[in-house]
Amino acid sequence: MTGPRPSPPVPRWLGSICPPVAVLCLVLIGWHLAVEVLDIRRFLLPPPGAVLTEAWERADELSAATGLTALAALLGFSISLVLGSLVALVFSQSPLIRRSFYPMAIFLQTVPIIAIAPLIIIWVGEGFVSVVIVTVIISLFPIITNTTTGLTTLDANLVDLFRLHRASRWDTLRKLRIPNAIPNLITGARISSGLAVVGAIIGEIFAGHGQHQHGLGYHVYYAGQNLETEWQFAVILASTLLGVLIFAGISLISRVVLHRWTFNLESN
Amino acid sequence: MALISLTDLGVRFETDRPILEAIDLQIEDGEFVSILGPSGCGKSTLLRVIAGLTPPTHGTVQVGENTRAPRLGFVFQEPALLPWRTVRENIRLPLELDRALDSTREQEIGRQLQRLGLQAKDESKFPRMLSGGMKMRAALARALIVHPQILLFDEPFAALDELLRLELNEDLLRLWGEKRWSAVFVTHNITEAIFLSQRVILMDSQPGRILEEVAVPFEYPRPESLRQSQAFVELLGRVASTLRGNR
Repeated sequence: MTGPRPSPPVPRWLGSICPPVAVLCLVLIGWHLAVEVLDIRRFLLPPPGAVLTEAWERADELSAATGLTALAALLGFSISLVLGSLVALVFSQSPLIRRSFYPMAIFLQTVPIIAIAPLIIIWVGEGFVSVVIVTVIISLFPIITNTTTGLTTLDANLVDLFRLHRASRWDTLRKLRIPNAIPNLITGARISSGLAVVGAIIGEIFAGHGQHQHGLGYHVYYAGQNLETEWQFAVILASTLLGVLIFAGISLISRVVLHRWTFNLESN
Repeated sequence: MALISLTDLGVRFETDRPILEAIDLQIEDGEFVSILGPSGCGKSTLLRVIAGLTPPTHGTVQVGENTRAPRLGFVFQEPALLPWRTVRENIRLPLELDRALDSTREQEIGRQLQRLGLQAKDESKFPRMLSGGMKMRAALARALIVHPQILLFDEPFAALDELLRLELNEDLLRLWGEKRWSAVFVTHNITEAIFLSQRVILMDSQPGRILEEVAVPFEYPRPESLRQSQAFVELLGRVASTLRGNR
């Protein structure tokens, strides 16, 4: 006697994509129904269909703004990545250096960026450079703290092994400290990548990109001022998608290029 | 002259209580010595002093027969493999740090792994892909690749299951029999200490000091069945009662 045949297994990718897509659909349907049933006025909350139509009709403007914001976010993020790693390398050299300069690094995290963005514009002027500076300030801290932790939190046995073989400072750095810090660096980079988009948008709200070039931050601000709520929603949607794309890109790079460290990334 | 010579050795950390006190110990070239004692008796500290990782507070430490420092291998309680390096790359590490890597030594890595019961396909695996026993075998291979004159073991098999521990004890003796490096083996397992070594140093705690040195009279190679022999069991009982009597 044979039992019932087991149903063919659902492909893994389908299994991981279906649940969030289903939830998204439910949210959109709920949103649409709420607007229709409660008769909410459009300038307060437009239905999702209207937002998508607005995005489609102004697709050129939206993609140009997204491109500009993406450029500022990626440049700011890249500078943070290099600068943050270098600062962490210096921090890892001695506890005295860490103790002396760490409060300065915490300043980056705690300073209200909205409060100092106008200062940056006074110092540097309006435009792309100011936007990138704001992005760097907001996305630098996670790289510094995570990488410093990775460079200094070492398995005591491994430190002993290197000491036993009289490893030079340079060998210990390149064969132990830096590889040990890679998973932390990537964790920091993931956090920073999301913050970089936020930083670029805040920077654009204050500094813009000049008279003829406008990023998402500029649009989201002026759409709010002019009660163009459908356009504002479309811009917010584009900002969110940009953040997700950059985050996904960083995650993909970390998985493909850094397979040696995958075990730590998974546990993170 | 002994290869390792400790005279009136004492170690005291920041607290007032000494960790080790009045340690006098000589270990000859090619000798296998176990250090046995309860937790906290300073066994690991003693090993670290020999390795040069912890400086003594007083007394003298002489390691090596002349002014040139001997090649040391250290096997930790954990396998302590670099997780981002493959097994082969892990074993290559000491050679890289010692600037001793050449094509002959590179070829030797494969042979060393084979001697430890690992297969060619394991060379390219990352430590996370290996079982606890295989990781420890890789750690042993890493310690042996430098052709050590002295091998220091800090309870390397403590975290493994009993069967695997017995098997690794036998493998370790086979390897020692081939090259006859000097071995200092820290453990709190009495059977292991007696089975492996020619001499067992019993230690007492608070402060850590040498209680007694027990000579192990069994010839090498030591068969698996030795552990069941009456002489072995009697010696085990005597060592156990000495340790228990000093609690």
